[in-house]
Amino acid sequence: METLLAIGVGAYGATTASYLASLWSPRPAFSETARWLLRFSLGFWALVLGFWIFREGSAGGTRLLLGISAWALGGIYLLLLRRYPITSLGSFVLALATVLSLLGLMAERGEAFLPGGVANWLLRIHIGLAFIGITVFAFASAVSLVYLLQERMLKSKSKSPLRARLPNLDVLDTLSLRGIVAGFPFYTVALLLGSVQAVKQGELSFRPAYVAAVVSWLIYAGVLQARLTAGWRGRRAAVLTICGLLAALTTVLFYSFGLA
Amino acid sequence: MSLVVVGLNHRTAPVKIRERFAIPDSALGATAEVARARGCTESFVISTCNRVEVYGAGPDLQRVDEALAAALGEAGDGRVAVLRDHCYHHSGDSAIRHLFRVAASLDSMVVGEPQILGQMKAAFRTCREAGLTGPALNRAVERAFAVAKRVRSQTGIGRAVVSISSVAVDLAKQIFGDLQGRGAVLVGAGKMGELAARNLVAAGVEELWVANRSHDRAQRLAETLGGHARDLDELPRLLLEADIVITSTGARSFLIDKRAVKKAMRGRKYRPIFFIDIAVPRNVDPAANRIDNVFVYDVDDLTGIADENLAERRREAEAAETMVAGEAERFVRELAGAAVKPTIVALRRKVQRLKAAEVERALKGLDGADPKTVKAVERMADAIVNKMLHDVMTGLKTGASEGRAVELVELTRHLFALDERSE
Repeated sequence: METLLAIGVGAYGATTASYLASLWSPRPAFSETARWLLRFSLGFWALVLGFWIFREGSAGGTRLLLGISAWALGGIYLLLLRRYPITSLGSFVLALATVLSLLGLMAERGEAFLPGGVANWLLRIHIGLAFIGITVFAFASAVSLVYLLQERMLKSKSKSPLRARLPNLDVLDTLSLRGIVAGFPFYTVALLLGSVQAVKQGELSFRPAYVAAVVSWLIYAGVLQARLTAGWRGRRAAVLTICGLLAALTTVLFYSFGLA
Repeated sequence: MSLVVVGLNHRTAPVKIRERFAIPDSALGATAEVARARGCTESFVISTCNRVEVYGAGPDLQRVDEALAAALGEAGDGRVAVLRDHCYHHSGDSAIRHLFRVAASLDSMVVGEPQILGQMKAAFRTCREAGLTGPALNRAVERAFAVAKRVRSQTGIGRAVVSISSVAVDLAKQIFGDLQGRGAVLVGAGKMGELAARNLVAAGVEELWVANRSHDRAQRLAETLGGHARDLDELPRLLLEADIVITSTGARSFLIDKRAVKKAMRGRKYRPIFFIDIAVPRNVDPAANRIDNVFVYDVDDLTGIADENLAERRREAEAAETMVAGEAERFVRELAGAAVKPTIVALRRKVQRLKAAEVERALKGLDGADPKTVKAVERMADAIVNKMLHDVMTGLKTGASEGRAVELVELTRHLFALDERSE
């Protein structure tokens, strides 16, 4: 399993390198190679994850969840690539997927998020939904990061060829909004289930993980509200989208270090 | 059959000379016909605003060259002396390299511009349909088109735009993506502004307003561009509606200041807006660029990007030059191979016949030879023939690729008596 995971991480790394090369040079050969590598990486990861789930089930724990998140990120990007001119976004999304898969490779085996005695179906659904939400938010944040980079280059009248290769601001803003719209329901239900679980165990209090989770939810709710009703867009929305992800990741870190 | 080209272009002749030799599309066939009548077996003519070239093929390079120069001179109403001072001649490998470079837009005034390939295709179609081209030109020109396509797809030579108005459209696309459904306002009636507005409309902008101090002038320009005329005092309202604002008035102070933009942005619910300020002195306060979702570009910003894009094209052109040189060399080698192939086949056939006859005679002398001996004799004969032919064939191919095909073919056919009927 370790070898297969290492090959998978390597495949993501090679795909990221190809996308970086296509960002550096306008020659279509680089982006074509990157797209083929992405298809290969996703296919390979699908087989590895399928085999892993079949063999170990939920015992895959943190590593399995990170592996699925990395795969989903690549998959979301590949699907969107059919509709939007976002080739250069690949460098950022795949870099994130590579980091996630690498963290998965380095993580401890076993159910890190399901410490002894409290593993039940409610908690499993809570964790699964939270990971789906965070994965989609991670995608939206990668898009927002590229938005900030592109906006900065346009504002500063940059002559860098990179400006011409990054996606346009409109498509980046749209994808960032759609990412939050898609991830928010999962994250909301996950938060509710987590609260129910905490109430059942009489643990609901101002613990760091709960506070971070609520803060991240409030940020995303605020961004959504401002975007959909007040017409917010652009830099402020992009910055808050990234802040929301940082808060959500802080929640995961608190869980990982037992500060729930 | 060798290729020759005679022509003049933006580098060898100023426009006042080029315009004298320009050939209208309807007369391309007639000029090619003249070249054929003077001694080419095939001919093809291209005439654009930056070049007039006549390509021809035939067995005698000197004669083809003279025929092409005469045809071109005739196109310029017999100004042969003027032509002599401004034209270039390429023949053989050099002509093929030139043809490939022209098709790949490496010889264009703006390197990488896409029009030349379309113009060449149209001109070639005209001459081919008139039956003026033949196997040599067809093969070379079609290969040139394939190489040009490869250069375009495998290098970034044609990617970055290099004119100020195209840069403005490009920037608009980087902010708004698709320009379909977007609105633009042209403030002032300057030539540059008009060109930028025209490019934006061509790129998909649906609604165009023209605002000017003189309503009549605005009306005339709006009619030309397919937009609506507006008075200049309607500008604050137009800032709420338009996504792109092009300014090119002669105003001595800012026509649109930061406060006006801030106010407009509140009314627009912070929808992005792009100011293309082509006026000097500037019409839009550059400080407005600091407001969220507001992008202000003046003429220096646009020129700077256009210059950088041109530099990037030049960098890509280096890779394209290497690609074109390699393809031209390969094509020349293929042509050379094709030129000596019939001689190699005839030589091999003759030597094989001789070998078979000599082996048969030798075996008759070895009456009752066992199969092992027969095989040894045949193998020895094969080895001698192959070793001898190998050097001759290699010499022919190498010599042909160095441009000595005709001379070597004649020599080989003479030395081995390949053209004699009885051997």
